[in-house]
Amino acid sequence: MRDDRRPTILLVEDNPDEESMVMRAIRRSPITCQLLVAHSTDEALGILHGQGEFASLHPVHPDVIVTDLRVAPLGGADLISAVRNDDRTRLIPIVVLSGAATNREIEELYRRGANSFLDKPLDFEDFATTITRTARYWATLNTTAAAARQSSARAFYPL
Amino acid sequence: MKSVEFCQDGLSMRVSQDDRSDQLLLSLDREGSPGEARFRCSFDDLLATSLGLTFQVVNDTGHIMIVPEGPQIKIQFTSTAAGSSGCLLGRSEFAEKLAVLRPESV
Repeated sequence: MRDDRRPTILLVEDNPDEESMVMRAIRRSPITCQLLVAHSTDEALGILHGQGEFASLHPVHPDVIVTDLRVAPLGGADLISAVRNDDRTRLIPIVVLSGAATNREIEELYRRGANSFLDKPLDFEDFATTITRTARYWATLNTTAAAARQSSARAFYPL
Repeated sequence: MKSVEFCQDGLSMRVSQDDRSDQLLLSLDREGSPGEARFRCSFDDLLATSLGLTFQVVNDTGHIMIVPEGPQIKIQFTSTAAGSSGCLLGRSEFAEKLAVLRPESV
């Protein structure tokens, strides 16, 4: 069952222009949500596992992780492995975005546990539509496993 | 109920504890403009911005975006009633002021 938390999306993106495009797309979408942006795989794992600089904070368990394929330093594929290999985060859905992935790379992403792969459209309108549809599906329609939500149940209540 | 206020460049952001939960309430308004935008978020998610994460909340009162820029963080918000506004705050100043709102259970 879904609860009444506001959905939260963790975006892992180190390209400021593409981060800005996602922010704009989410902002103008009709979805009520929260977006956290990690600018590297290290930041993402830090906030997900409560480690490194983020050790003093509770780990964040988003409704979905949306990551760029080539985000530094690990890259999207190794980030997926790190998330899937940790019991605290292994059930969180992961969507990978890329403008230039080979079939082999896409296959590898699914093998490691990606839930979805999306081509990044070049045109902003198409990009915004892709992001809005993705956010709507994963953050409002999809129901995550209860175990994945447990740690973040504190996070959001309706205003 | 504890609260802290950040005022800069005509923008006022009040962050207060919610007595119904361990959430924080963010109320933003711009000098001379009617209405305010209100958001709810967790202490940890807000504090994470002082460590470099970007944060955005969208709801039906508007949206708030907190973006790290070197040693500062930029707060931008748009209220459906009062339009857009923004200001810059020091990251450490933000984290220090926010610290008094840390939930007691932490």
